[in-house]
Amino acid sequence: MIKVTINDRTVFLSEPVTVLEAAKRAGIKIPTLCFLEGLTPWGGCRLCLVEIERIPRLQTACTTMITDGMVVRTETDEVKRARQAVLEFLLINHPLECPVCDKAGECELQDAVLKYGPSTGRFREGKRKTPEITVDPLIVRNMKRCILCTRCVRTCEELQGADALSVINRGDRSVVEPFSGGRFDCEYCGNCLSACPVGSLISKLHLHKYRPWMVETEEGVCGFCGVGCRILIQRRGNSIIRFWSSLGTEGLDSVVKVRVEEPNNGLTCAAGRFGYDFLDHELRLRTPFIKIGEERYTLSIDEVIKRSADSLLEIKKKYGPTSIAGIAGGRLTNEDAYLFGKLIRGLGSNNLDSTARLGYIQIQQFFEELFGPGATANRAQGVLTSEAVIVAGGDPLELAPVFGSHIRQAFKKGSLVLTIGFIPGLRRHSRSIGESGDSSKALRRLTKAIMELKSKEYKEGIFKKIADFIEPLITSEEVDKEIKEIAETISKKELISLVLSGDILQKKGGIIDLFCLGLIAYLVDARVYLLQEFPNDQGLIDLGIGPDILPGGRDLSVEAWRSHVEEIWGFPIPSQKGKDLYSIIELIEKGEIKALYVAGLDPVTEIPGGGRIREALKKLELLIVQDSFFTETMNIAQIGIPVAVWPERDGSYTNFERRIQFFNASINAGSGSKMPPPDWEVFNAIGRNIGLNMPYRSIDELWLEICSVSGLHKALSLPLLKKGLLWPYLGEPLRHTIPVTEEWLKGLKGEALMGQSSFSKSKKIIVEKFPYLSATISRYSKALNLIGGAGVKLALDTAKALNMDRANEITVWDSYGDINLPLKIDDRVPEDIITIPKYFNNRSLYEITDFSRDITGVPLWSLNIKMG
Amino acid sequence: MPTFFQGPENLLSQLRGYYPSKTSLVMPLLHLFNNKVGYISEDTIIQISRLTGLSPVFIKGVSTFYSFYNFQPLGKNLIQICRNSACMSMGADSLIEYLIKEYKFEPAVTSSIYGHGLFFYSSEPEALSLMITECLGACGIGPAMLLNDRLYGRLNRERIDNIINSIIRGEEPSIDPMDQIPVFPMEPESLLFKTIDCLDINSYKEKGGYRAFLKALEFKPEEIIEVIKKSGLRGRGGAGFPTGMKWAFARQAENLPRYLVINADEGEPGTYKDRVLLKRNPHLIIEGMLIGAYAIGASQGYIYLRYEYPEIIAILEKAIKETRSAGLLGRDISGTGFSFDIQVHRGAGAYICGEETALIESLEGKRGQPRIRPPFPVNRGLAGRPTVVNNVETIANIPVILNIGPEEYSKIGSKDAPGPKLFSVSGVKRPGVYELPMGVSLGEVLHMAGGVFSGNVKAIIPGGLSTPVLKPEALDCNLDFASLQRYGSMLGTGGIMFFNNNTCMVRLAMRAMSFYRHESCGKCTPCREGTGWLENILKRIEEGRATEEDIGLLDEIASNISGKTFCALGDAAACVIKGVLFNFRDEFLEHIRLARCPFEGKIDDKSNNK
Repeated sequence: MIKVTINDRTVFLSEPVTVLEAAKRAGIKIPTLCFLEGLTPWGGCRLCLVEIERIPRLQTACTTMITDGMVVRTETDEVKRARQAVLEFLLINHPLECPVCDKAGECELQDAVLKYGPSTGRFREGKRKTPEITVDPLIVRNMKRCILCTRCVRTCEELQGADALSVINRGDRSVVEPFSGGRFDCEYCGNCLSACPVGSLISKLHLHKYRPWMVETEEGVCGFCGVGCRILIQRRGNSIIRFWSSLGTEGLDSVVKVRVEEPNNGLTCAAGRFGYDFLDHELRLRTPFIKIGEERYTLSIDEVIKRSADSLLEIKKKYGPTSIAGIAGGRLTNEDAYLFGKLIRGLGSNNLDSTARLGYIQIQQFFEELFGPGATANRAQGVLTSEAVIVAGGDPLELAPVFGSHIRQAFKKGSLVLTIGFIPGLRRHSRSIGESGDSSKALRRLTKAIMELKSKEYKEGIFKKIADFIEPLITSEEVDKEIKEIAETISKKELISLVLSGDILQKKGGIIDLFCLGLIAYLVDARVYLLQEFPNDQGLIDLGIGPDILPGGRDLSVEAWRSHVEEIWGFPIPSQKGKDLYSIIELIEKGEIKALYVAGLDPVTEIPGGGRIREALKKLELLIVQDSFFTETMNIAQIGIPVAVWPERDGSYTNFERRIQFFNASINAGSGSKMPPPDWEVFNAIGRNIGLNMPYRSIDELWLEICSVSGLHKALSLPLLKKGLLWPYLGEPLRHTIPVTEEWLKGLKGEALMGQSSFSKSKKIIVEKFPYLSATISRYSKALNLIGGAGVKLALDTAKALNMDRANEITVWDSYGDINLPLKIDDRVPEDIITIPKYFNNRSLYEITDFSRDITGVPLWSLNIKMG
Repeated sequence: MPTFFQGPENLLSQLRGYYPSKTSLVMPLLHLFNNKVGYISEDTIIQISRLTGLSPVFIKGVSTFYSFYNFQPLGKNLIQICRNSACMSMGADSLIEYLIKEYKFEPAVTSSIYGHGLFFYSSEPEALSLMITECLGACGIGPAMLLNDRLYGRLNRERIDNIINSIIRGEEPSIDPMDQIPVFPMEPESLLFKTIDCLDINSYKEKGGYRAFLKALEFKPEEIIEVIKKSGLRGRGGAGFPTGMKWAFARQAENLPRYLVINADEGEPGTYKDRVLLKRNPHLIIEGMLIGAYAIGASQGYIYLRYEYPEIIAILEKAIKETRSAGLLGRDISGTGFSFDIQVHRGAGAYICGEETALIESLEGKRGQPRIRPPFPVNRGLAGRPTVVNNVETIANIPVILNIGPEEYSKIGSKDAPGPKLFSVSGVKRPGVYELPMGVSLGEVLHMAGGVFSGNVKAIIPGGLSTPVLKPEALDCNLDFASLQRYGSMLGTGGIMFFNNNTCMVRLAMRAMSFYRHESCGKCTPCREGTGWLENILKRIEEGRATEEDIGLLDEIASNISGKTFCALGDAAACVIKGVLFNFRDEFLEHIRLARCPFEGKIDDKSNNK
């Protein structure tokens, strides 16, 4: 125990902390400016000077560690004089333009001067003048206000790992700058905006639009991707003023605090910071329509619901229940998903699937088979303490940006981050194998090296089967010195994390990569982080969206579980499992499925094979599309139903940690009849219209039923869930898993998949997904479209090899069309790699793609390039 | 001019293995481009970024921290002329004024807002650029300047005319550069200068060189540390920390490897003793380093050499190479299993890098800003490893102690800090580096040096610019740590500057403050903001635009800085003000009463860094 006396208050602490922290625990506030929780102490501003007995000089509380018996005084005359002096020094160059500064009202300097500052100034010389720099599309930089606390620089470096800011020059000539001195051209996470205690870095999106005391702040959950960051949503009237994060709010009395555990530690990414203007995009669908011939007619929401119910019943009558299918996007909330599943099953069909089929569900089932249920439920924070992090398939900085920056933080703390293949976002924060060559090959070599080190441990159970399967594939691989050394280092570590996403399956031979990773995870005892690209893929699975699963993720073929659900729902559920996502598309092509209900997804632009899907969907007799925007899929629909979108509505998402997070409607989508309903209300109304028992008036009532139907959510209640529950919740943690590996192994045997991979002698194409997360909604953000810099990127040598070094444009093509993209020579891209943005000028790469299905139901797809 | 050229790769392969991390390569690479291309462009930074894997803005932050990286093209010839206190006392101000006027130098008009150099272009900008710098460490031969890395001393109008006319004609200046700094070894027997000018290893060995090191190898490292402790040696860099104790701390620290770093960033204005040691006695430094490395268990050493000493790089590198060839440096020295090597790391013009933690940051290739202490470098220094940072003069004393024995050594000079001390003396008739026993009085030094340059003594700065100024009454004071403290000043680096009665003390303070402002690293508020404020007020007083209240304000600002800054730089600035106000307040009042400077000295506006 360490005993410290602060202002005659004695505290006992079990660990050495800073004087500042000790004072905080004793309930004593010491003013700070350059201190920011989570950053390494700086000690520059000198505002936190305190008196410590037996030390002649005043000491900074933020840098001094407590020692046993220390006596600290924070409010003596000398301390007060020092604070006044520091604030006077800061004010000699800080302009007193608070009336026109956006930060006034939530400015830490203003607060500090008010409480501790001198009342008059004695500075007679002219203040430092630097012009406001407004050339950046999103961030205004005002250096005359800067107090050089370097919180922005340290945040950028230590928390985001972007290293995009630095103090330039020295002494009183110092300024904070991005490299060009003008545009930031960075990752635009905007965390520097939260870090800035004064008005030096301000978002252009809300510049001069409000005063902090005019806005209402609400805690929210970001709905752009699967991380589920806690954010602060600030609005004025019915419009969103800004998205903010908890970073930097500790020192302010004026801002609402985030009260629950955050998966994001106060960070945001570009979308979560600047992307909120998607709500106002001109493609927002406000009124329902039906299409007759080539004409669209608008009608009321009640009419369209009636019409949808009637049409679905008509198809069912004409072709039977299995001619109906439903596809859900990972943007649907848990409540939506539950009712969507109930609706489609109420129509008598199990042809029900979601975006989780793009690899997420297969990988999860695989790991649950290996390690048991909940194998992928791990707290995001855990990566920070990992001694080694293996990242394979899919750039975390693109799929789950804030989690990606956590991996960078782990690297900075000395963790070994190993990337397999080209992971652009982690290039400066990792060691990489197979970066410019065949990443599958590198992975197999690594697997072999680790198997050799741990040879005795995999000869049992399921692992033996996998090992037996993999061994013949890797015997011919030569393990070089580097991989051997990496394997040795990794196997010596205790805490190891494996990070992967569905992307690794979306190529030929991807399943072999997955087997290798599974074996590695087992041999080194890694915890698994499975990234979901959409905000709620996990929730869709847990609420029973899938051809073979019921709410709670229970196996549909087990009669006991089925009858339990049937009893509550009051209608029979077909025992035959339905068709998965891409089988549904194939059956539509064959004419066997006649009606499709798509909710929360634009299959044409948001999932692989979009080009082929567009053609398939044209063959349908009935296509109902329910979305917030007039999408490409909506364009071919017979019925279009507008819905409210996060954050205009209540609901809950389950993030990639399997944390269930509720959010409230922060703004209203519209007024009166113009207000589109949330998805679940539409399903509810259609369900009632087709005669199902759907009596819910609120999500509270809905959850009462979910908690009784779903074994996973059993014994839960809404108030409990609203605290943000992590797996295994309080229900029954065990759930049946499907022996996928057995099935896959059988299917794989003798298949042509063996030894194949996506890497041919030509070049490897990598699709850049950032900053348009969760596809539809963020690509409608004008602000995110301003970030720019998108284009095909490749190294000069690669371009030369392709005879493209003089081209300005490149054509990306596949069976369903082509897209021209500007070509950018970028030597940071490894040789033989070509990166292509997923969205460009409102077009999606998926629009032109074909797909083939592998044994797990994952779409395999590819792209070709030629001179533009 | 080509921005991209072959060469960086060679440098990288040459330096590979000498540094604990790639970041340390940033400054050598910047120097390479600065020399070869003439300035640092954004392209250059991007290229260095590719070579090191560091982000471009980080490299930009590093490069703009230092004074001597240029961010604009300069003329073929570059004059870097000193304006600091010692040179100023020898007439640098009027010389610079003459230079600018006579050769029609114009302040550089440039789009670059980066860097700190005060650049002037001549009417023939292609041929000649002028940069006004802080102390070049040639105070004994001031006014001084560097012309294309060549030092010229004892400048006057005639010599300057001669030099510039040669340059304009495209010729090498033919006059004597007068760059030899006089050295006055201790009588009857010199200790630190016994091997002076033994530039090659053989002549050094002939005079007994490396015997101390070979003797040391016969003892246990702990025994060597005991010997140093016993000698009573205290660091010569200014703080006077007991060297043996420092070594013992490092030796005890686990977390290998350990490093030995020699602080040759002799930036304290008025000090130039290390320059003489490095230039004329390099093997003594290397031998001292070898013993130190053996004692603390370091296998890699660095000499952090200030930018302003360009001629010394070659001398040191030659000496290191010779020592390596002689088998006294490198792997497994003399078959003892002890390995040690030395790398010379060049600074780029930042006074703060003389502070040991800032020096380590700079050695790591970062902006040279001081670190939070604790942890102290002996526990966590370079790359987080135990690191001893010793001053050049300190390490030069090590072989001496081993040669004469700690008992003999501890008898030299004053008891609390024994040994020979090098005093850099300027402003006198016989300036130079004096090797004297610690504890000699100021008056004796003045007498030996032949009295002030002209007129009578008015003020004495006893230990480099950062020590409070004294009045002639202090000539009785002995030069050791304790005595000077009693007189309200400090021993500092032993850079003694005498000023005659033509010196305006306001102006001296103003020049000092403009130095601290220029050199403040910007990390902490009081130093960053306060030094500039003080300079502004001093300028108003000197120009006769001040009131009596301003004197009180000066005093208060100094108090507000003192003891509240991150490192000692702010304290130094404050104590200069405190000292000058304490001893020469009347002169300040006189300025205010007359509303002008009584010395009629005009402010050299162009040399003021604004």
